[in-house]
Amino acid sequence: MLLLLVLVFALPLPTLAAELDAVTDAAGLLTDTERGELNDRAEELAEQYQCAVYIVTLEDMEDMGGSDAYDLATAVYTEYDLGYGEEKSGLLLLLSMAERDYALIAYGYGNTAFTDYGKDVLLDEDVLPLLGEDAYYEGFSAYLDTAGEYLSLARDGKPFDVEPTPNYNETEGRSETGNHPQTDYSYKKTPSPKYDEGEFAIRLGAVILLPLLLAGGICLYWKRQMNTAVSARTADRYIPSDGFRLTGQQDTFLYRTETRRRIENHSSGGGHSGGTSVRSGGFSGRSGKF
Amino acid sequence: MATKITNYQCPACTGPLHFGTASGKLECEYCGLSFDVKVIEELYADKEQAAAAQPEQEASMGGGEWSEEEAARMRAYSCPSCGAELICDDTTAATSCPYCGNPSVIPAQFSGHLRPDCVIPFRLDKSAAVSALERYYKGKRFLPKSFASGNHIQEIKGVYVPFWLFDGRSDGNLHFLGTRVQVFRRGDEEVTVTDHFRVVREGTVDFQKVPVDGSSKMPDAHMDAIEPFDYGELKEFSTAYLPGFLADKYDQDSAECKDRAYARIKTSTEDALAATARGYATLRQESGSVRLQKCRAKYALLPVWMLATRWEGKDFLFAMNGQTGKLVGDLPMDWVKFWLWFFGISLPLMGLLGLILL
Repeated sequence: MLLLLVLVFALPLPTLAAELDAVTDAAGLLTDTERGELNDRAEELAEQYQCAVYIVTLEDMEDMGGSDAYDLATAVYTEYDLGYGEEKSGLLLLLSMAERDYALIAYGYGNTAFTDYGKDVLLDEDVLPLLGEDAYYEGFSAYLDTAGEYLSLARDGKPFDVEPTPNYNETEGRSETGNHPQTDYSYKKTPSPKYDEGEFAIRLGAVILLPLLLAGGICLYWKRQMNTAVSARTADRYIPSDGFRLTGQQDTFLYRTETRRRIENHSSGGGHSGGTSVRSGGFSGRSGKF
Repeated sequence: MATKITNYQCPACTGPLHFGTASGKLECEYCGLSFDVKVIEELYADKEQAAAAQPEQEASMGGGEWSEEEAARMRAYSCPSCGAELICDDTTAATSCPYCGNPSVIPAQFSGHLRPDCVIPFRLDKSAAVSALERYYKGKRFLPKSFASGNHIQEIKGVYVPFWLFDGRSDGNLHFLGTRVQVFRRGDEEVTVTDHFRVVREGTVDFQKVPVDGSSKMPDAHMDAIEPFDYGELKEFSTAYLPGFLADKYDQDSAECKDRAYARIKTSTEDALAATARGYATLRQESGSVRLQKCRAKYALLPVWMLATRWEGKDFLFAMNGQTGKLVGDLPMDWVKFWLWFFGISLPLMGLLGLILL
């Protein structure tokens, strides 16, 4: 892979311009109007959220000397010095039409705003279905919309990610499993109840059950005192102090059995634990086929 | 009808003598003098012999209303003080005349092989028993009010209950299956290693004076529950300890009672042997035997204060150890009171917790 990067750096990327716009349509998927409009929107987002958003389409990444979409995307990002501000924050979606490969990478603040889960949702739910049907303008439009929403959330301090931690829930008085921006997410500060439903049920249960148990225990103890005539089981108290004599003992080992149980390892990788996995090089992202 | 019972009469004033629990002597009710048991015993030795020699007579069956079974169990005597006819059970050995109150002893019940070997005299008198019973009733929150107030506490009776005291040695040979368990982690597995052992234990256990009550009339559970008696006060038997109290002779002989003693001895032996098998995670008895060697039984009379109450068609027996004062009894439950207390405790607590937690 290092070799590939070196190659890519060595050869100037022939089919792209010297400097890249926000939306570069080398594959000719969009009309000029569409491209222009998308480009303006992308630039607006970049200004608004201090994080650039790019779209690059290619006819065949082999022309660029790349064989892996992800690697090519990172090479393009680096080579063209993409990204907003000092941190070079940005998000890049790259398509290669010949192989129908895509890559979505993030850098700098982009890593924060676009978590692994966020990228998965953005691609799987919003963008890839449309690209798969060759609805490229719609797909890119959705890409920009969703990217905008995620950036907005991130700048509010709550990047779009999997189920929030319990602490987060309690103080806000909401229980949710990830706030999807496509739904009408109206976050109003209504006066929330002191405890949420689940916790109230537990407290109510304790208030009712504990006294019942205590009262039951006390009353049963008193009841037992009402009937003290119990037959004796043993004659232990009639054994004199030296009355017991052990005359023989034998402990024979018979056999050994062994049982094994696999310990369930709670795997830390694999998706739904939140956050962004940033690889060495500073990029995070994924690639695949559309 | 010949006189077959003796009252012990004061040598000084011929008043009735009764056994005094505090002093341990025979006391005269009229003149207040007290006499050592031995002294009175010698005085009456001849009289008792004569009385014991008399053959027993069947109860007179006037009117023929008693069934044969019932008649066989009844005995009739005539009180030496007032001549009244006393009808009592065939096991009654000491009683008091309901007409003149004279305490009487029936020596024939104790003749020959029926003579007890030993006796523990009463240490607590009637007033102690009555106040103990009143205290017992007072603490019981679920006791129906009418039971405690209507209770004929003064009718509490002191009874010498016949017991068999078993001495013996048990020989146990027990086989157990024991396991030792180790748990550790190997790689990403949890491994449990169980070693199985056959554990054999043999031993002998001596037992002294295991009591089993020999009267079918006395419920075994009550008699077991008032144990232990302090055998330090066990005395050589003399009928002179009996006046003032009721006494019965046994109707379950030692062979019948041996089974109950054996059951308790067996359990104790098994427990004692199992306790020596240490270091096992689990121990299960597989097989084994406990044999009783050298078993001897002594016939003893032990003191018990008793009150039988019949309430709403059911019988409730209260028993108190006449030597140590240990109380045992079953009492009826007033369920209304039970639920009142239950909700009376739980509801305020609920309110309090609700204020704190909610």
